[in-house]
This record gives sequence, C-alpha cells and structure tokens, in this order.
Amino acid sequence: MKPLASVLIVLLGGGILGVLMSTLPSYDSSLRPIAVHADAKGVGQGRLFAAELKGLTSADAISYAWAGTETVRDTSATFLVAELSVTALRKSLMIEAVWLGATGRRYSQSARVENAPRTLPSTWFQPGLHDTTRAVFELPEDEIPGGQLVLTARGNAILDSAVHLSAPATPPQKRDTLRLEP
Amino acid sequence: MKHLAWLALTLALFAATLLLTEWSDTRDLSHQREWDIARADGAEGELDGLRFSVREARAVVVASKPDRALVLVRLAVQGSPKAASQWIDCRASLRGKGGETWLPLYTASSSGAIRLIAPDGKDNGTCLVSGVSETGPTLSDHLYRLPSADLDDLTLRVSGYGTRPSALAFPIRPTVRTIKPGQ
Repeated sequence: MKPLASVLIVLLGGGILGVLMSTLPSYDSSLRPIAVHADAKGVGQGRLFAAELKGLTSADAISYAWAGTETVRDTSATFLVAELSVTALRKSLMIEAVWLGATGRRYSQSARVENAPRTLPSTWFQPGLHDTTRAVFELPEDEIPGGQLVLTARGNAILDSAVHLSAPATPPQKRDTLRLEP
Repeated sequence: MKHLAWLALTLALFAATLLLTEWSDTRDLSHQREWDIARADGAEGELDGLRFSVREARAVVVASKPDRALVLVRLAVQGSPKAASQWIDCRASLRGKGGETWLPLYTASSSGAIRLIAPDGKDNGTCLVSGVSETGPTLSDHLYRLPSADLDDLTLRVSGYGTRPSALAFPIRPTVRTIKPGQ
C-alpha cells in the first residue's frame, strides 16, 4: 500500500507541476504595459500623460509642405490620421502610438510622413501644456472600425500604462487627398 | 535541529540574493534620479569639482498664446578636466513647485529660438562637460517650454550621470518679455 501511495504522490506532484508550467504567463505578457481605457469624456489618463482622441480621418493620399517643398504621399492601403490632444503629467516626454486593428493586428506609425508637421514622432509634450499632434498610419480600411489607438511613453514601457483610445463606431470621413497643415 | 539549520541557510541565501539584486538596481536607479540636492544660495554653486553659474534666465511669452512661455537658461561651468570626466555628462532640468520636470528642447527650431531670446543673439549649444577647463567658463544654452503660470516658482537642477543622485539646485526667476505678433 505504501509504495502505491508514494507513486500516487509523485504523479500528483508531476500533474500539479505540469498545470503550473502550462499556465505560466510568458515574460512579455507578465511585464507588458498596463492598459488604461479612456473615460466617459474620452480622456485616457496614464501614469505619465493624458490623451484625448479628437478625430480620425482616412485618405488615399496625404500632402504637406516640408522645408519649402511640397510633398505628396499615396498608398496602396489607406492612410489613417488620428488627431490627438496630449498633456504630460510629470515630466517632458515623447509618445509612441500603435493602431490596434479590428483583427488584433498592430500597426506602427507610417515612416513615410515623418517630416509632416505636428506628427507624433517629432513632438515633445510638456507638463501643464495641452498640445495637439497627429499620428499617421497606413493600413487596410477594414482595420479602422472597431480599432483602438494605443499610446505609450517612448522608451521602456514595461509595467507602465498604455492608454487605449477607441475609434468611433462609425467609419471616419474619407478623402482623396488630406492636407496636413502646421 | 538539522532541518532548522537548512531552513536558516536557505533564508540567508535568499536574503543575500535579494540584497545583491537590490544593490545593483538601486545603483542603476540612483544614476537616473536626483534625490540628494545641494541648494545654491544664489546664481553660483559647486558640485563634485565643477562650479556652475546661471548667467541668464529669460522668458518669452507670445501674446497670442499667453498660457505658455519659452525659457532660456544660460549656464557657465568651470573646473578641472579630471572632475569634468567624472561627471560623464550634464543634465539641466527645470522643476516646478508641484514636482513637474521640464527637459530642454532639442528640436530643429530650438537653436533659432535661443538666438532670438539670447541678449547677444548666440546659441552656445548644449551642456558638454568634455570642453570644461579651469582657465575660463564654458557656456551652454538651454531652452524650455512650460506654462506661464509656473514662471514664478522654478528651480534649475544640474547633475551628471557621475554625480547622481546628487544634483545642484538654483532658484530661477526669469525676466519675462511678451512679444506681440509682428514684433
């Protein structure tokens, strides 16, 4: 009887260990940023900054002036421009944005319009000041409705807040060419 | 009794592991944060062999956007190259009364704004300790953008990677000039 009990104990221990191992969260998911969703007024307040999605516009092409030169960018997908109001809460910082599409895919900002005025990658946010900026993405059109804009402080966002701003239920207005003004 | 000894040894090793990890993390953190503040009496102060002085503190408010200001701080530093090398780098930030931290702007247009605000129309560049000498002061210019309401109660903190968590703190009261569009 005693050997059988010992075997059962070993098997039970092995089973418990197996369950623990199979349910162990990955390093990335354990240390990923903490999602913070916008409140009823549409303002998402993270640890280091607060942000509000002021509007979304989609377009087949984008135009802007840079260093006295007119630039036009078109795309085989769709440009999505998110207008934002951001204020830093504690210290000067820059912000990174990702569009979390309706299918769950994550889209980084387009690097093809990095010289456009007031874009997120070139904007510093200061404590106490509300500044407007824009994040530009290139993505399939059906990724826009039901998607979310995810904002994190630039740099190491481990266990820091990620502000989620949801897209309106209705698709944004689409233009042939969207002019990005300073 | 033997079991207790093993348990005590396990606990001691666990505590030692925690201490070693914590010591390394605390050292990393202390190089980023400023919590040992040496307050300068006036516009001059010394920290770890380098003597800093605030030469200019000027604020400009554009009349069309009166809620915000550009602040120019001109620093002079003097000291031995050996002390400067131990600083490694130099960070000058402005602090508000609520603990807010404003970092200097390094954008394409900040140099032009510095030349516009500076009394001599020059931009002396960022604070680089590599050029510090004992023979004369090395100047640097720092531009900040912050709410106008915070101009009355500002502190400038100067530190280096090698000095932190120690930092020098200067009370700053910039002279304010309001510019109307077209001026």
